[in-house]
Amino acid sequence: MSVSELVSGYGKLAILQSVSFDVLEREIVCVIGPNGSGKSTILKTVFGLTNIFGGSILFDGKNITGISPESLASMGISYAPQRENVFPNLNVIENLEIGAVTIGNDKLRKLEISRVFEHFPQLQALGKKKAGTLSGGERQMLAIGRALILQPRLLLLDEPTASLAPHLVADVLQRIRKIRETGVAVLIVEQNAREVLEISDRGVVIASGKKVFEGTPKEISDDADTIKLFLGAS
Amino acid sequence: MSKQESKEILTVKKLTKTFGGLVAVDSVDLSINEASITGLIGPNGSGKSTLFNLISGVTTPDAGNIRFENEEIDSLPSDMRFKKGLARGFQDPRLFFGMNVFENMLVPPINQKGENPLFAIMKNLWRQQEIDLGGKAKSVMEELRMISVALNSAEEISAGQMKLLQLGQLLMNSPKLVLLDEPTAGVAPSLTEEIFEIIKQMRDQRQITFFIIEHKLQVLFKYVDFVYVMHRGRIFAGGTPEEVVANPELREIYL
Repeated sequence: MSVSELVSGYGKLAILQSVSFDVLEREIVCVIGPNGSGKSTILKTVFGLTNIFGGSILFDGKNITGISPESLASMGISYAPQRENVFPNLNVIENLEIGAVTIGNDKLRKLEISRVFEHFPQLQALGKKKAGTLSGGERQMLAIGRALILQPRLLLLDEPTASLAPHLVADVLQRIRKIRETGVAVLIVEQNAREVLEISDRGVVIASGKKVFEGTPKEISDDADTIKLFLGAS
Repeated sequence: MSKQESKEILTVKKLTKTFGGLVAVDSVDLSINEASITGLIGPNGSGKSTLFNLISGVTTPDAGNIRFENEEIDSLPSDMRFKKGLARGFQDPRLFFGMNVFENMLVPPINQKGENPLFAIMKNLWRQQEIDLGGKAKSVMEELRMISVALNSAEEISAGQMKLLQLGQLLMNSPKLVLLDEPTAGVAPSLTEEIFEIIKQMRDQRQITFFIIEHKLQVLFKYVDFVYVMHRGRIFAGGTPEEVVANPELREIYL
């Protein structure tokens, strides 16, 4: 995917001010930055959920700027939002089935769901529980699981490790790495910056709607401005 | 658990809550000392948020009791507990989305004179209070780096900022005990530490007690006096951060 000079926002308000970056095949790229800097807006814009005022997004060489989320999903882009990302009144299996609703064949659908359980065995144990009664971390896994159902080629994840216990943060990030090995590119927004940089190939630092730095994880964690702006001491 | 010396502000005994067949909180005993910062950690789904729901009165327990400042509060609804000084933040912030950030900050303070219908028409009675609250809201928003979005509608801010706004709302009152459910989830690393500094300041200067669910242990452990560990609905261990870290079983279930 290639994003160039993207200007987008909500209503008439532009949040992103000319942001450009690429995500290569099978690459994990993370977006980090202070609160309210526009990180989530990048993912929402790629997934067709904002108003685009300028710039373009190419996916697989095709211009997908302004295409509807449902078409993007069928083209191989999946999105797991940060909030309100599960259907609270449906149980875990039903939530996954909703993600698989475009798969016509029952057997195939079951197979895809079992593939998700391979990535997240915890979800299988929770199968009949209503998503609304899951803990914050379990919901997060369910949201990622559902995004995986359609075998995307590009996965957009908005803070997948927020509210996860420490051992699960590392665990989920390792799973994301494994998901990448199956041929999926991942664009991931995170506040657990140091942890996500460890699994990323490249990182993009956003502040006030602009890209202020881009580089390898090492370049980012060594960059004085990024440390001051976002990472803090330690 | 050696915490006899200082005064307890909250005591929970044999607290139990089941959902269908699941025992979410299983006969929990714990106590929180006045003006302490106490952490609550544990794996996802161990019952931490449910315990907070029971203490704050959002959910009714099946058994057990809760004492706040030596008074039984089991039968009180959550708003009465709030008026007594027991405030609570949610993991997923509950804000007034029809209002802007600044207005959201002005709702929680209790005893606002202008709320009385008789006083409402007499501006002089409440004018100074409104000005004071506005000033306080401004300084809290400055600390939380929210000034630039003060006039944005509460639904037009990022998820991390929603979290900060909720914390700001809690700081607008002078509660005695504040329960915080992951106050820094979704918050930038550089700000995370500052939030705990603010919490510590409020404890030191205003003797406010904090009970905090948090997964960022490196930060949490720097600030807490005592930590409880929950696992499968039970209090699994309790101690100082050093004692808890040294517990090999904890490593197994959580770290």
